[in-house]
Amino acid sequence: MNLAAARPELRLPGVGGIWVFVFADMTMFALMFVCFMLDRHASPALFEESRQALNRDFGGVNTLILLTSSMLVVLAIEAMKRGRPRLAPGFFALALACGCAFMVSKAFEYTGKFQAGITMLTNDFFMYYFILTGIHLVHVIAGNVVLAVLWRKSRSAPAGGSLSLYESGATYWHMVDLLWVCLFPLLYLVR
Amino acid sequence: MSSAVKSILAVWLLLMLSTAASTWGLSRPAVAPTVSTLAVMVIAAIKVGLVMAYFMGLRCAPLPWRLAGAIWVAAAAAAVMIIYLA
Repeated sequence: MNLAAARPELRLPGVGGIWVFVFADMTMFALMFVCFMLDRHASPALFEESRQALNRDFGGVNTLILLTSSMLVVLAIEAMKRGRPRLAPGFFALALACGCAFMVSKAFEYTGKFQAGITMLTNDFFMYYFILTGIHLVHVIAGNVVLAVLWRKSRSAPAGGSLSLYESGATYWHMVDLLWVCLFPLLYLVR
Repeated sequence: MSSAVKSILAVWLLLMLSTAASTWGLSRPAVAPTVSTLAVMVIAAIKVGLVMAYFMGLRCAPLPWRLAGAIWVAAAAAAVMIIYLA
């Protein structure tokens, strides 16, 4: 029996370059997580008091939104792989709608903070809060552009040989989701 | 429905339920802060691992890339929890 033939082929989705970018970006975020925790360790009472001013419902719902968006992108790629590319635009459009919902939710959340007189200059916790969520929001905006491009491309030219392009865009979007999965508990739930 | 789609949906459901448990269950004042924080962090690390493996497709990637993903999750989670407990 040929065991090698039974083993599934190992393959990195998308182009290698996107993975180098993804790991570099994730490493930068990990360093920021460490800085946040070190400063939290230095001023636990201030960070805890400030954390209580955040609305965890926003953070939790935003996590559910991004996880759903990521899942829809996986379904779009899966539809292309299974020879059903006509399903892909619908999945990409729904994933994009989720990405836009995240931005709208973030706008409401930021507005509430500004109306309460909370800004980046309020204290160290809110400096981290606005910088970390702000950088992440820039990633979300870029990701929504990527999803819009994939949606448009999947409508006009059914996927065939260009699966790598779709997988690269999807990998970026999953990273955006993954970073929020880390950021949310760090900012909203660590007490 | 293919088995691949079924596993994607199962992972998504697990991610949604664990997010709800962290957000609205473990964060209740009745749960001790240290227990809550460590549980939330462990759940987050598992969620990141699931996203990497099943959504990003790392479970079928060559070993060096799978190792890179595993090292990132382990290092980030360990650093955050060690600083928290220090």
